[in-house]
Amino acid sequence: MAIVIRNNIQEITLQLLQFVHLATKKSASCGVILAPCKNMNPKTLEQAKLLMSNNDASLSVQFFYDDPNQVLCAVLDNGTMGNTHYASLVLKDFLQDQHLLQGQLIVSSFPESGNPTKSTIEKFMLQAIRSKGKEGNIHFFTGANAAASVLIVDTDDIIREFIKTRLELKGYRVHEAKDGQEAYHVFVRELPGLVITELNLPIIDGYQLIRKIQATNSYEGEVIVLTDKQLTENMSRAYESGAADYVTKPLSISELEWKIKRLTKNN
Amino acid sequence: MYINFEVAVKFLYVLIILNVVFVAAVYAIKIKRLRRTRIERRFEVKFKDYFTYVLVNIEGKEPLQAPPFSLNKVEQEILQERLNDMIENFTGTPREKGKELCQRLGLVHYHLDRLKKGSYAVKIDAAYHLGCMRVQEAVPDLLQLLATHKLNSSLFVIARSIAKCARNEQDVKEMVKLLLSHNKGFYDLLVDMIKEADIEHGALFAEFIQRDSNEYILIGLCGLRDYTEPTVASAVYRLIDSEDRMIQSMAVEIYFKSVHFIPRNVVQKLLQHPLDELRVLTIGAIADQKLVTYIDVMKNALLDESKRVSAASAKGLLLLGEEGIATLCGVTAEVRGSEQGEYLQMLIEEELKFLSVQLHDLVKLTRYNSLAYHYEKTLGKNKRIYRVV
Repeated sequence: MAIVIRNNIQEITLQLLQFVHLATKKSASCGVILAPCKNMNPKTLEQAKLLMSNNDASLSVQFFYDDPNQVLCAVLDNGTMGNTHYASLVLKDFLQDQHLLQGQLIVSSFPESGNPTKSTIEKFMLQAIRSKGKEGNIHFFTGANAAASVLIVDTDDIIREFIKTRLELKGYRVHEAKDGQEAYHVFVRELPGLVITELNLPIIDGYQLIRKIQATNSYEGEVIVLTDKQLTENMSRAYESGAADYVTKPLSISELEWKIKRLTKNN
Repeated sequence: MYINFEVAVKFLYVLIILNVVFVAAVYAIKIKRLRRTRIERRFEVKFKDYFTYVLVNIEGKEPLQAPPFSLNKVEQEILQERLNDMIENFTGTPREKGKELCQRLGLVHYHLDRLKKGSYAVKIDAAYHLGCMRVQEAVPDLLQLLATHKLNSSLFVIARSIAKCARNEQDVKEMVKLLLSHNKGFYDLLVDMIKEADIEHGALFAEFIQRDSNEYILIGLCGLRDYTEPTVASAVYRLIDSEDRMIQSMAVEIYFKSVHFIPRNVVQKLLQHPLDELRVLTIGAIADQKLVTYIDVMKNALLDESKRVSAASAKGLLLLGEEGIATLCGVTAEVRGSEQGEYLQMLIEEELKFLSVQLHDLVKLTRYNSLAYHYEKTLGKNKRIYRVV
């Protein structure tokens, strides 16, 4: 006797893939927001659509709700990562007000985040389904496989958060630490491919941290210094300690990103 | 006696009332702070995604949009602080987009208004925020505020804001002129502030050192301290002969840092200078640049009347290879028995001791061997010194 197993994920994946292909044919890009929700009815869908259209009239939004997986899909024609993410803020607020949100909102834009193939869309969908029960934050989906891992060591929350967000979007696995000692513990545990560190750090300073990292026998990764210190003496000392590159604050994001790319590629 | 007792009771009542008032005031402040912390925490949660949106799109082509929800006063203040941090931490497009967002949120207009109409404390606060947001329109009002401000720490808040908002070099010069009118020597602080301005700093510092005023020259020199271009060397050369000792020593320091080759006439002139600090700087520069051609000059400096110069020269010769080391040992042997000779011999022995534990480094190992060989050859000590291979 043959048993037919109905694959719910495959069905919704194919449906979403179709929507994405249609949208990318119509316009250059297509934004997608997936949100695990319960009890969505046509009236609520209509309300959400109206709200998002009011927020940005230039975006054409299509909603569909997958009942078996309880996932709400919003497809935005012409949706770049920027405007799709902004739309997700509006949608999140609406879903939370209505007590419908059950997990994280996952945001993506094609082809910005990769080519919309069946396996990519399936991964995207699985990420949304698996987020059920988690805190209702907004996360990004990137088609790229996790590249190198990076450890960011800085006392400044904004800098850490910023670099983390940017690197995660590019597919890196990112770890954080606020001081030299914590950084060294994370380093020993994770052995990241790249360490980005400030020199002014509590407990163990940046120079000591670099020397400790370089003294690790099996380590083949690199260290980039990202610091306020702009004097040539500091720069020479950092290079002598074993840093591979030196970036000063206020920081130029593109400069840092190119350096990270170069060093992780070399590794 | 009865009257005194009555006065004492009344005084106690007054004290109790005052106590109650102060306790109430302290609790009111505490409650206000707790309320603000609570709002801040709620805000952090509510705005986490919005900040992520800002951070992700801060380099994108599309302009950053305002939060899709309304803000109360405290939330607006917290948002302002976060945006200030972002503008301060980033350069280029992210900074421009942060400034643009502040404009869109009405923060620029709000603080410009406070700067014009507010009380003294409000004006200082507005000046700080306008500086963070780099609002160029605020410069005339900020300059006016600085001109009438007395000398206290707030003066520097306003001055720094002017530097951050400066439209051109002229605004920075005006700010410097106003600060210098207070006649205090805060040159390093001034340089730090000038570096916040979006102008070509090197050109401005070079212009300052051409002026007649010593104050401007000192600001210029403090600013040029980190520059290593040869053009800086020619700019400060004139000041090597300055009558002001501080200017002279700073000029010499910058000159040696930026010059690629030190001419003999400069070396000779500076080594005859009465200030031993300048002679030490000259010896140090010859050693740093490994100028073997000046070994004869270093040899003479070994017998300088100042021990600082003599020690600097000995250390410098050690860095000038075999020839330098041979010269050092030779001179030491010549003056053996004198106080100078004893001193130089002690320096050599200390160096040998230091190098003997650094033999894992090839450069230090060769230096150790060289020094040990010439020491044995010229000073002929009985104690056996082993050469390391």
